[in-house]
Amino acid sequence: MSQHNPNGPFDAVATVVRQTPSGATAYCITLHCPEIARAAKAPQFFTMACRPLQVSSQTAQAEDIPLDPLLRRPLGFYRVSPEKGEFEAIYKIVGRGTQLMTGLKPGDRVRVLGPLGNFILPADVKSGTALLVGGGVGLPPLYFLAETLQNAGKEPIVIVGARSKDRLIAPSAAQTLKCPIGRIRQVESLEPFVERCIDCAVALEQPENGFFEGLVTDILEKYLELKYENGVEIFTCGHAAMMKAVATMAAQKNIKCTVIMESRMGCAIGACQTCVVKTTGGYKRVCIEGPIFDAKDIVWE
Amino acid sequence: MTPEKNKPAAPSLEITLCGIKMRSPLITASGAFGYAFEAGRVADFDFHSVGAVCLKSVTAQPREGNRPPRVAETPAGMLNSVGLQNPGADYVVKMYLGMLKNFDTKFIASVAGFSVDEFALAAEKMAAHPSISAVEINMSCPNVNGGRHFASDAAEAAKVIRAVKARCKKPVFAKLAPTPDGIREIARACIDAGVNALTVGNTFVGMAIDVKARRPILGNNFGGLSGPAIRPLAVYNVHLVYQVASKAKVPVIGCGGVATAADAAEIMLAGAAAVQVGTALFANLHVSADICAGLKRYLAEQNEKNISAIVGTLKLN
Repeated sequence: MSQHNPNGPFDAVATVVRQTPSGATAYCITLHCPEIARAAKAPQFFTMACRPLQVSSQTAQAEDIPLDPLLRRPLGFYRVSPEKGEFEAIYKIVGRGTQLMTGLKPGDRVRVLGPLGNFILPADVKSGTALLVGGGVGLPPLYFLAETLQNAGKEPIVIVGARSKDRLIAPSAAQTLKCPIGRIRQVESLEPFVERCIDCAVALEQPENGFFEGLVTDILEKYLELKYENGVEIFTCGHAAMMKAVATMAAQKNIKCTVIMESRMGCAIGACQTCVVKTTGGYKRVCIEGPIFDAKDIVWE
Repeated sequence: MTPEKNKPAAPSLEITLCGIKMRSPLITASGAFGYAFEAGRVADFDFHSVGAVCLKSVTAQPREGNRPPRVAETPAGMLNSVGLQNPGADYVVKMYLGMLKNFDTKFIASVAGFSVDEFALAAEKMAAHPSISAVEINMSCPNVNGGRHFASDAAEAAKVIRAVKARCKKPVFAKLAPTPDGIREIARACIDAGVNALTVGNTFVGMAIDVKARRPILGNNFGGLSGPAIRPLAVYNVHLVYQVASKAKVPVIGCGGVATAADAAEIMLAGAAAVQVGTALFANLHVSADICAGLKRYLAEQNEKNISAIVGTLKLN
């Protein structure tokens, strides 16, 4: 039996459009796969093979699929263009698989699976402010989410953290904040957010002109002192220690906090039970019950 | 005269395994394919090339599973330590098995347990459902304390098989631990106890260490190795068990690292009447369709009309 579900997920072959360094330690890859680009919703993700299919074959057979490394890597959607049938993702080199990914060239064909996981329905978005707090490769999914929330009539404010300027995964640019932090209105922000007129404040652990010095939670604390007439909620995506700190601050102020989790993953369709995170209701799969979880349900380990 | 009349008929991949008619010799391996409906959600997933689905192992009682991380990638393979997480046989029967009739293939239940009674109880509950054609006894899970107990002792293995056979009218398969030393003795004990087929075999126990942190990557420290890395080991185990099983006319189901048509042919030549595919599904969900297409080409090249004709036809040097 075969069924066609326009929302996917699709296990398909994507074509690499381009790949460029994104800061000193990350790469931004653009893939062409119209069915996935059309179906993707924030903050969903997809999985992608680290190596291309054998170029000798026109039709992808099992023989052409690279089996070492075997597993596809989960990556959050960054910029998605349903019109062009393309989407982007940013990854950091963390091991052999991501190192091999950097060798992917325009025209290469790779097996992808997506879109995966739960998502924010624009129709369910309430007005008010959303503070989006991210670090490292947690940032790209927050960009897609910020865009979605903005289109749905919410005011997103993005707070980004990095160790140093060269670790930022998008170019920096000057920005005048619509929602100033105290008296600070002029900040160094990130280009994609400036282009979309989304407030974005960057915290660097190593001091740098124009940037906040410190952690994302330092900026978050300042934003949480402000009054939001239409309410405020928090979304966070990044490494566990940061998300835990953000979730703790949100809980103390009784503010709704949504975490976007990541995990080592096997099948990515809910079958293998490997990508679980601990919640108050037992182990839950990041690929099906996630990646979005209510922060108060997560049992941080 | 039409040209088609001179064309030989396309080779057939159909098999009959313990009386179960299957469209192909490919079975999705337990644990890699959930309860089938998960893949049923994937757009354009086609069950046609899947001869049978072996469902994820269930136990009589629900199990929470092991502490994450539960997966660690290794060269051409992966370690998993899921630890038999499942909602229990009653829940699976009530909530999941009803969905199986939507998918046009055969289904094999997989059951695990920590005592003879637990195996028998879970098997009885699952086998009673009309969508279930057979029950695979997972007596070799490497990820739970005592998970391999029943596959490492011939007398214990026989006890489980006899208990399950007494309470389950459908064919019973035993999934053996992949340990060449003694695997034939365990196989023989299962055959004597009335097992209908032998699945050879489960994952190999392994460990991966994060050298910077000086800690195992898996939350449960060790796990089961699967994927192309283990294929030669699986082929050898199938070869060993086939020597015993073929005499008793008990089919062997090969399992371990199969990802391509050549891999499937290899394990069938070694003696497998059917082939399980697990980890390869993670690299390509449509892998069974690709393998079937490749097997048909292989049979045509070999001038064989039927896939069963190659089973155990390995010629040793």
